[in-house]
Amino acid sequence: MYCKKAILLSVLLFCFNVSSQQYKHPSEIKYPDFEYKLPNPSDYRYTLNNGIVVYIVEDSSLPVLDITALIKTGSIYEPRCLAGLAGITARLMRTGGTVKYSGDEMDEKVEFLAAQLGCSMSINSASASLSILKKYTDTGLDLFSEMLLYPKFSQKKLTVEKKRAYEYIKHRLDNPRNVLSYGFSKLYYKDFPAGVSPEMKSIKRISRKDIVKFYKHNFRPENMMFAVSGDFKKEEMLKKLNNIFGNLRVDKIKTEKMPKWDKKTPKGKVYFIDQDVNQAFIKMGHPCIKRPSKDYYALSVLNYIFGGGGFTSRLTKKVRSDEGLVYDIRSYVEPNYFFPGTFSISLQTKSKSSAYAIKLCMEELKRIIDNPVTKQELGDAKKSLTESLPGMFRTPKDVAETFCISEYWGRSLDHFDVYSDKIKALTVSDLHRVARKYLHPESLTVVIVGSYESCVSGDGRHSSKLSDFGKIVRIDVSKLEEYHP
Amino acid sequence: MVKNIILLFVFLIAFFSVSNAKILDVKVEEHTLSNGLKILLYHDSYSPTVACRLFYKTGSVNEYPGVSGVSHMFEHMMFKGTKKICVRDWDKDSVLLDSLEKLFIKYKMLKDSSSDSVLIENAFKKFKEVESEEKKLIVKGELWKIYTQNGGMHFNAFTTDILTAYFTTLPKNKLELFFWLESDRLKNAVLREFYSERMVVAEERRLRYENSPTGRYFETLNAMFYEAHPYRNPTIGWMSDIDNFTKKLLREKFKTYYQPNNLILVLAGDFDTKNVLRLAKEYFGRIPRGAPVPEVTIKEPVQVGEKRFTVIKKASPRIDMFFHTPGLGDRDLYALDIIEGVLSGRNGRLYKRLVKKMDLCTDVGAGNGVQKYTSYFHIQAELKDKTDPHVVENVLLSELEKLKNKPLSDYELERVKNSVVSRTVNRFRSTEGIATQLGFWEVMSTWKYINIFPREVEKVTKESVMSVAKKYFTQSNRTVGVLMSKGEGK
Repeated sequence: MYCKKAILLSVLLFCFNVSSQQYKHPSEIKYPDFEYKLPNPSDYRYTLNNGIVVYIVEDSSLPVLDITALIKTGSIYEPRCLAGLAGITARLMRTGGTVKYSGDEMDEKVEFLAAQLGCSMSINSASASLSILKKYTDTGLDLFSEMLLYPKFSQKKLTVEKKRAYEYIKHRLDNPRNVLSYGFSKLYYKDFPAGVSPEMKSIKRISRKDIVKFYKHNFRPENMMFAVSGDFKKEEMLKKLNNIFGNLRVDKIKTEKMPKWDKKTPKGKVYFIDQDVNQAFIKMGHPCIKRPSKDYYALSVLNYIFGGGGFTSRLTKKVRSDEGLVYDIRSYVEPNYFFPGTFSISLQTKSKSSAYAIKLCMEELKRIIDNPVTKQELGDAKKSLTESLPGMFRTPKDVAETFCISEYWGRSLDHFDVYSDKIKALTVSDLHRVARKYLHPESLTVVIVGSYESCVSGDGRHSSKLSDFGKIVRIDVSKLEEYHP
Repeated sequence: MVKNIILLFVFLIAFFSVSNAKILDVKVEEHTLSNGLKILLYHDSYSPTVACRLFYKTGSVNEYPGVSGVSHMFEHMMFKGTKKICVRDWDKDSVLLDSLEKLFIKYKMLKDSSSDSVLIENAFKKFKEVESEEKKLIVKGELWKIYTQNGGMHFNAFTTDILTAYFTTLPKNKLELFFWLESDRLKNAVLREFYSERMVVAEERRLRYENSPTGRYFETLNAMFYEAHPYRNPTIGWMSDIDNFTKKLLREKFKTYYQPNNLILVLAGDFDTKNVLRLAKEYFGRIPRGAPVPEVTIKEPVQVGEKRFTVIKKASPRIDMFFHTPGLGDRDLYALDIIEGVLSGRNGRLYKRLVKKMDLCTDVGAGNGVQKYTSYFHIQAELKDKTDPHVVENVLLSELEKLKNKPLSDYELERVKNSVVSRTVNRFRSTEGIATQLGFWEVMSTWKYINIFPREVEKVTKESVMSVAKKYFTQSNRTVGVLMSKGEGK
């Protein structure tokens, strides 16, 4: 029996045995036809009885349930004097008990069911999520809704969370990468909330009353959307969700007033944060565009060619591959929908190479502003970006969450359908136009974390100096938290 | 033809019930080509893509003092192309590459032995001139470009102590590309841009280990925990070793370990088995079997007494406790997995006592580090700034004593066993995850441990937990690391 099967298979293999080795280069390979069809958001989009939007993706391949709630809020809406309030609110929703369960009871149930339950806060959104085995669906939904709708914010647990925050603040500047992140936000955004981090004083000021007020103001049903996926029948899940969330009172969405950002940057300013490490951690950036913008796709493709496209990007080819100066270098165009995003370049290099590495970045930046990219570069970037689209929809959870987030950003339902067409339509001159319009090396805020003496000494082979990029403002890392730009 | 592919077995997918808990039973097709290449196939058609993985069974356990990090360095070099990829004219390139190597050896020799700075500088200039000529022949990033332009995602690689993995995820109709490019890398890899890449690896070491608050602490702790076994080698390599890597060393690495008989190919996703086997045979089947790779024969000796290590630096204070445990295959590891669950998590014994009750730590946890040759059990506590590490250490030890002397409650045992089921299911969340798991366990021993391990953990009894705790949690089997924040602690 076993032998017969093996022989039959070998015959089949022989029939298929076309000589694949004839291809001298992979570009010659002839692939079978296959047309990828993007999932359609309308196939998964539902509204509960009160209008709350839910994306539901049914899939029985694994016995699990995943649910995520996206909540329209964010730390950008917290008062500066209470920096950290939004994050602590989210953590306390999970740990501070609910109407039915104490925090410890919640921990016990979640762990016994081997579930993952949590709530998190970002600068412009909050999310609550549950992942649980199918057989515990009802219990899981009960825990999830308790956390999201009925948190009690116990004073005792607030004290625990505040202590935790103090410990974090005490050590957040031990790591140069964190110093760069903290320092860049502070020196770049200045007073704009996106650059404000929690401090000891602001955490101390936060009271339970502040938390309850922030929660009630932001975690309202009209601010919520859900992404649900897993092993269930869609109709049954809709019924369960309607029972829990569909009867909540939904008011008209109040548009939060976004704080103003004074984007004026001192030209050519270099901040040097002194820390005893043997590399320079560097980030340079300037304000860019707010989405939606007709120029976003051109800028995004331009960035792919410049520093966003992995091993094919100009920055990687020059600074990493040619010169061996960095392990990681890349540029970003932040796709921000709520306030202007940032164009930035980040890298790390051994101290003595810092000035030369920055010089190379500046030269590349000037080159992409002064000269159009090549047709080959544009064609390659377009192909890579459009071909990667299916990667956003790999799992049922991906499908539900990608569509949910897309709607949260305010995109139209056909966003992904037209994405490829928009990318494909771009021309070399479109990219050159946005390069000249949006990239301004002279406006970059440059922040370097490292050992000053080692960095200014240079590599002995190249003439570049850190002062070539602007007046250097030195800040000792121990004084960074008190520093006001 | 019949001999070329040996069908070993095919599992049927099923759920089966153990102790009222449903555990996933993985369906995997296993094949071996006549040259020794192992193929593992896992079907999942939700997305029209295939997670593709190659696992070479070599990592830092195959290294020795002076060449630490060479497996990882070679992983970097595998992105520099072949005789066909990343190059415009291989014939010209090969001549220049030979010349470059000789020029660099000459420059290094002068630098190390001569005091004539002009001579040294001239040798360097000559090297740079030829390097610049050679660069003109390079098509930079072509490998990356080919994959991404064909819908390839997550194209990358990683090296661990026991393996070097190369991976991507492709649309299902582009599978042949993976076979073309990866068989080409196995046959024709070229050590291009070696000298600049060596500097890149040095930057990686600085970034990940030297400038991370705990990087050097863990590196040293690891080297102290293992006295003889090459698990003590840092996978990234010591800086002086990285600085002295040569192309000759890398060629030896390639010749010894990059052989089909030392390779596992894993696919997970939407594909046709017949087509995959055809492609495997066409592209990899013609590569001859290499000599058997050298075995790791060093055994870790039994520890003779407690080892301790204290670092004082500006970093979050912590304490780590390591115990030696047996390699994969020993049944004690299943009970140790239960102990990991009992001690870990927000509802675990350590968190409840040290974080919630005593307010001494910000986080605690335990890990059953199952490894191929010899394993470890790790307990870690992140301390609050004012906490005396000795107090925490005593609490940790008292919790280990409890495990030896008092049986677990039914509730605790059930809680931990539930988490085993959940962990197993979570491994199957993505085809990338399952492909990595299959390759990892196959390098360790056999992928079948994905099924065996949770089943065996389900069978663990309270008595075996006590017995295992007594056996391994002893003073002489213990290594303790303490990281104290400058000016804090007692």
